Amino acid sequence: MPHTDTNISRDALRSYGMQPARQERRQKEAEGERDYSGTFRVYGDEETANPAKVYVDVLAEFSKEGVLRPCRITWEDGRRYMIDRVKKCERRASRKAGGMGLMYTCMVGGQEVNLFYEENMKWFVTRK
Amino acid sequence: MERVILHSDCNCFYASVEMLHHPELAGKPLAVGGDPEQRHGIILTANYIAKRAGVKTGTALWEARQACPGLVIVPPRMDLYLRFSNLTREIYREYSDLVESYGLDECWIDCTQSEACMGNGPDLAAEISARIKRELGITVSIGVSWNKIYAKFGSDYRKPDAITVIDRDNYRDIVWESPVEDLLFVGRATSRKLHRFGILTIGDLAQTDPSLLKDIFGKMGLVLSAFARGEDQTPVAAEYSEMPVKSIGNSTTTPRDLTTEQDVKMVLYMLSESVASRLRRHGFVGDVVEIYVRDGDLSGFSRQHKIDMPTNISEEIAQESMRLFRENYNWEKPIRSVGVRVTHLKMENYPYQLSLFTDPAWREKQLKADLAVDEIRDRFGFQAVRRGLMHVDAKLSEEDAQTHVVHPHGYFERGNQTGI
Repeated sequence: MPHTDTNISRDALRSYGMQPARQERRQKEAEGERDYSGTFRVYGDEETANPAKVYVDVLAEFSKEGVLRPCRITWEDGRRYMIDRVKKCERRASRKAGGMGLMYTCMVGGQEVNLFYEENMKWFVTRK
Repeated sequence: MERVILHSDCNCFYASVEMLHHPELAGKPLAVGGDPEQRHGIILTANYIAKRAGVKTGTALWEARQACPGLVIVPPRMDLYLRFSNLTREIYREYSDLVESYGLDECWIDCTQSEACMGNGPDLAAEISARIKRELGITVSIGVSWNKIYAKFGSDYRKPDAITVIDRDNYRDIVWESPVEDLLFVGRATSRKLHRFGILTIGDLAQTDPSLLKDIFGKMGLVLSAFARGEDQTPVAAEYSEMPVKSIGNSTTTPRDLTTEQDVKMVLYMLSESVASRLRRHGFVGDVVEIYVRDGDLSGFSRQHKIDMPTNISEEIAQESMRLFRENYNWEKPIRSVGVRVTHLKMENYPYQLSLFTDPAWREKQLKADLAVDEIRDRFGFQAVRRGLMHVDAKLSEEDAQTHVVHPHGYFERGNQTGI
């Protein structure tokens, strides 16, 4: 039994007793008419294709009751800001950032910041 | 009192999850597809833009690209979809404890008892739909009716992001006017048969004399009649109700065609290891081994055989699979996919007759070896220990069959509860 290789002649296909339509398709495939160019992207964990989503370093506390609370956030510029207060935490999707998780509405330096915990050990914010 | 049943169906589920995570692709045709290098190169699902361009589930990636130039294809991320699926169920569970999933993206919810304290069916459907959109960023279609069949019809009726209520006032207009193929359980073969009898719409089916349907289809005919008339009594199963497992199996499409017996042996052993491990994990043994073989033309067959003693030992399952294969395949064509399944399951410590032909000491040793391998793999990963045979062609045997386990659901898997 010969190994199937990519160059299968029409005669060989016919000898396998394959039906014409499938034969056509197989022939096309074999001749390399498949076109994957530019359309098959493989994304890594970083999802760097989307600039509006910024993963940030977060220092967080786990209470003995099992409550996770973010305490300090490190911006892209490297500066660290304390989270003065967590107003609420609810599950939300962010279409702009392109992600979904637990949205912590935090007060940071008098401003409201939405910090998302993506439940994969990573936190992100939406770039404005 | 009539039931209030919702059927919630996530629209283009995998594609919708990917669209959420790729806002830079908004407005573009997108499809989720397998890896062509591994020969899983088909479209799993596509977003509405791509679907309108003609991209269909099950077509090859290159065919889809031809139909829709500019199509972006992303690889599937099952862990992400599982997470989203579990979160939709968590939301449903806040409205009822009778939440029955039908695949990752569909669910029936029985809200009859919830009406008293939470709101009527359509209102609950609206609330659930809005919550899923806000909290998960995907859309659902929901059907509301007094039985599961009509509820599912309702969710299929309008997509995306819609709620369809089918009640006693409108079912004749909505359901009965629709083609008979739109009814659950009416597939190609059934609809062909029905067409031959002049039954074209669900209404035709509903108004056909049930005894005629019984003559054509047997008992299923009566069931179809009940489905068409909205008389299905099947309850929405309570969550966490265990299904009795009837069989455990694994199959795979191999990255290259199999052309020698050794190729097949490698893959069958790999599958048997996975099946045996899962049998042991659930505390089962089984005494019927079934193999499934599919060749390059995608035509396949299955053969099964009852073995002497119920087993969950990988060597025994593999040997029986190889024997079935050798006796039933004459190598006309190279092989594209194989499967191994064990049925007639019994509990592990079920008393069974000892066989005269198998050496109990050998079995004991094999079982010990299997258990040791299980433990090593649990602690150090699947690749930590492998049969020598697998190293002959590492690429063929590198897949951990257990990472691709899908649990298909049948409407009747808990038995026939339609009331017919």
